[in-house]
Amino acid sequence: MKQEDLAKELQNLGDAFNLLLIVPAEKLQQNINQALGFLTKENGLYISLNKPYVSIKDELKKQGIKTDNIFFIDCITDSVSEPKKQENVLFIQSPSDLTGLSLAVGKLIKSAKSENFLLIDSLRTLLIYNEANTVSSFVRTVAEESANSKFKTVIFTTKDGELFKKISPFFDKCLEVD
Amino acid sequence: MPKDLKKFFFIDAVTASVKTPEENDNVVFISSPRALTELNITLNKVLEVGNLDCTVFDSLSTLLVYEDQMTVIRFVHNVMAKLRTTNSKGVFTALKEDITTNLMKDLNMFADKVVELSRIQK
Repeated sequence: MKQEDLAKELQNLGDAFNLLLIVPAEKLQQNINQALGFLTKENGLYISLNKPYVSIKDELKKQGIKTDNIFFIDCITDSVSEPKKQENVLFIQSPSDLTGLSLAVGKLIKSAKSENFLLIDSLRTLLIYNEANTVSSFVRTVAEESANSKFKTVIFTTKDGELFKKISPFFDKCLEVD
Repeated sequence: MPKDLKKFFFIDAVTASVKTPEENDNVVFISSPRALTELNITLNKVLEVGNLDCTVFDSLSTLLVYEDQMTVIRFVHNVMAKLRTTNSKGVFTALKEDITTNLMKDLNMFADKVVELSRIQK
C-alpha cells in the first residue's frame, strides 16, 4: 500500500477496528502523521515509545495536526528526567515497564468517555526492551480491550518477521506501507 | 587552547583507557568506550548543568566495536531522549558500512533525520 492511500484505508475500515501497520523505519513519522490526520477527528490515546511527548506534540503542531484531543501515554520522558505533571499526559517509567503500560492502557480504555482511537508508536521499540513473547501478550491484551470498547486501534511497527507471525492473528487487518 | 575550542566541552572516552589523563577544565574522562553507564551519567550531568546548544557524538560505529547492538540501541535511544527533553541538538556520526545494522534501522525511528554524507557531496 502507498502512504498516501493510508487515510482512505482507515476510512474504509469503519467505526471500530484493530489495524497493524508495517512501515519502513525511515517513514514511520510520516505515516503516523497521515494516520493522525484522519484519527484526530475524534478524541483518542497516543502511546509514545520512541520520543518524549513534547517532541511528538511539536512535530504534530508543525504538520497542522491538532493535539488538544490526544491523551498521551509517554514511556520515554520519565526514563531520562523527572516529568512535570500535565493534564493530558500519563508518564510510564520506561518502555520495559510493560506491566505498568498494560495496566494504564487497560484502565484508560475501560474508563474512556470520549476517546475513540488508540495509536501505538511503535512495537519495534518494545522489542528493543522486552522479549518477543512478552510483547506479543501485551499486544493481545491491548487488542482485546480496544475491540471490546469499540476503538479504532492503529499499531505501528517496522518489518520483523518473527513478531509479525505471533501478533498478526490479533488484528482485523495488517497492512504493509511502501 | 585556541579560542574556538573553548566553546567545546569534551567527554573523552578513549584517553583514560590508555594512560592517566591530565586534568583539564573542558574535559571529563570516561574509563573506556565500554563504560556506557559512566558515559550516560556523565552526559546527563553535563546536559543538565552545561546549557549546551549541541552535542556531537563520535561515533556510534565505535560503540558497536565494544558492545552488542541491543545495548548500543538502548543507550542511544536514552541519549536522544535526554537531548530532546533538555532542548539540545544532537548530531551522531556512524560509518556508512554500518548502515545495514539494526542500530541504524532503529535510529531511523528515533532520529529526526538520517543524512548520508556521500550523497550530499555529489
